[in-house]
Amino acid sequence: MKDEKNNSDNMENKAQKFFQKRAESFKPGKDLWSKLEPRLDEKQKLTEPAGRKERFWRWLAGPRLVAITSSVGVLVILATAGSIWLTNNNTANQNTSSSIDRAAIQHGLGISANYGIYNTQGTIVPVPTTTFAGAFPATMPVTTTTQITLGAINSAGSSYSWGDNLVNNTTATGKQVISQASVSLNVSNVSTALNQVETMAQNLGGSVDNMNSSGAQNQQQANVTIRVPANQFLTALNQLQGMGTVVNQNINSQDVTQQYIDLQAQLTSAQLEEQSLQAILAKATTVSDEIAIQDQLTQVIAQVENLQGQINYMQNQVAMSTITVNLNTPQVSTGQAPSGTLTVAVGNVDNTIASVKQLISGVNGIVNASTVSFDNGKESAYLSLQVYTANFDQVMSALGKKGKIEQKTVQESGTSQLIPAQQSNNPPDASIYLTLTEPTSFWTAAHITIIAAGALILVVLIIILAIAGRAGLLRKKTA
Amino acid sequence: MIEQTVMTDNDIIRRCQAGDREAFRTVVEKYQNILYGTAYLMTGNRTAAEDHVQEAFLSAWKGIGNFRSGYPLKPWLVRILVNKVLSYQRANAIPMISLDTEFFADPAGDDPAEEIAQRDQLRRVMQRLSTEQRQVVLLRYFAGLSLAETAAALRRPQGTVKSQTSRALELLKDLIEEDNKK
Repeated sequence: MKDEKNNSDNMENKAQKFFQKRAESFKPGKDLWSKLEPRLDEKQKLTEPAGRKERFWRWLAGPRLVAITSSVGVLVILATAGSIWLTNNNTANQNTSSSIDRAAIQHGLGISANYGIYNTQGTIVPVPTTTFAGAFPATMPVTTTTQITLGAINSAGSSYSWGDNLVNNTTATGKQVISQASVSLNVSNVSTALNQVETMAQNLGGSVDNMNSSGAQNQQQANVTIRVPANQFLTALNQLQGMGTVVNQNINSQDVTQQYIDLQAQLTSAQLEEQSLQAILAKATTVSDEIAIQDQLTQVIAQVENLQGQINYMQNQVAMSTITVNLNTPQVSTGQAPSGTLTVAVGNVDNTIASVKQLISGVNGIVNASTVSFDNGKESAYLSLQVYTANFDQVMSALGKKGKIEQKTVQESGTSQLIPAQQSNNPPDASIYLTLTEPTSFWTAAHITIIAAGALILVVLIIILAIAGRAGLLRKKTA
Repeated sequence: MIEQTVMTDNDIIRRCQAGDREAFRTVVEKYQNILYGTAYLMTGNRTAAEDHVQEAFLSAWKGIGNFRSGYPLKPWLVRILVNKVLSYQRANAIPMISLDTEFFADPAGDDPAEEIAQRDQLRRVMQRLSTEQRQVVLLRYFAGLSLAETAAALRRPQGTVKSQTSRALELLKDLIEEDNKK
């Protein structure tokens, strides 16, 4: 034990001797003092241990940095993909709360509202209260208890861009709109066309209400009334146009909101009256009282039923649009003005509408109807135009040049008798039914969003790595 | 002899505490080599070592007012220096520099061949040790600090320093003994 200690001491002495022999061979620069002396008065800048900021960066550097940034990146991509998924799933799923959320998000709704939606039976389906950041569009007044549905159209007749193919239906303020249309078509075979109309109505979730046909084989004509869900109204019209040549078409939207509200109020009041009469009846003591109250009650119940019936009818009319289709075999008669239908894919629907209106007014024509709708984020427009026969070919050709022609049908005039455009006392007689669509492009907003988000994440990652790299935090530590 | 040095240091310290720069100059000249050697062996870089030594002396000058007389000056200075170097290395994530031939070859530029050979030997000795062992050996034998002083300067428990020292000596045993026989 003692030997061991001696040994150890001996070794320590030897080591001390070994190192101190060499200590003297290390000398700093000759003028250390001359460098040091002027600094004795200066405020000393200490080489303190790393500050909080520096410690944070060191903590962040390396695998942590990669893990955090990639997690954030993945989250951002998932969130973007999620919102895109909701965007793309709206159209087909109108009666669900997710479509409401999606529409609301798209519009940046800034209120906490109790949303509801009308289903195909015209019954309000409530949607849980949801709060969204942002502000409601100024043109769409909504209170905190408003029930809304997709497919609202404003008083100007153009639909809100909530991503659906909409012409009517209830609006953000609970507006009740009944949409109706009548279409006259020239078809080569009336029976075939009748079948097509019936199939179309059923496919769109609607039905055939009324049908009659008359005439011989080559002079046949038919009238058919179909009901389609309000949100399929425009689709139905588009499909009808494809079945033949449109001779005439009328679209009518009737706002019945006020009547609806009145009926609801009357119903509530009648129901209250009914309840109070029931209560009074229960307390009646004499037979004569009972009879008198019973009479009154019978009247009130009849009134309630009547009102309920009217409301149901109105809801049904709002939920299901009526289209009357008149089918004829074509008859080329002298003096008949030409007509045409045209579907054009354009880059920007709004701009094209403006230029079409300009074109039509330039030839003293009339824009009868203009409806804009949104379907799955794609905007489309339907315009009914009237021009003078003299300008018909010129206008058709000019419209065709607005974009890529997807469908074109022309029924030529049966005579060379042309009404000059200048004769403004005669209304323009040639009809053009123009549909403007946006071409399907790979580069949708969704794709651009994903790519932009990805690029942003990459840039942030590079910046963080660059900062960390400059601070010398990514250097591999060596022992 | 040792007591006389302490006494002398005490005198110098008192004068320094009174703001006497000449007295401080004596301190600098007396301890600069040992501080420089320690810093150099810790950093492996002449400029960095000189900077650390300067900073350590500046800190000593600022803090000498609080130095308790009667205590030896060298361990205090070495401790300041070691703190400077380790803090700097930690703050800047600078790894312990490997003791390669190149930086040991000519630290002062104009040294006699014998000194270069001695440093080279020191390098070979130090290369065998881990970073912790190197620091312990450096302070214990190169700077001449006691076990307690070394432990305090490196902020390690005395037991740890002791075991690290004996393991290091075990590794260096043959080389040191061989050298001492010369």
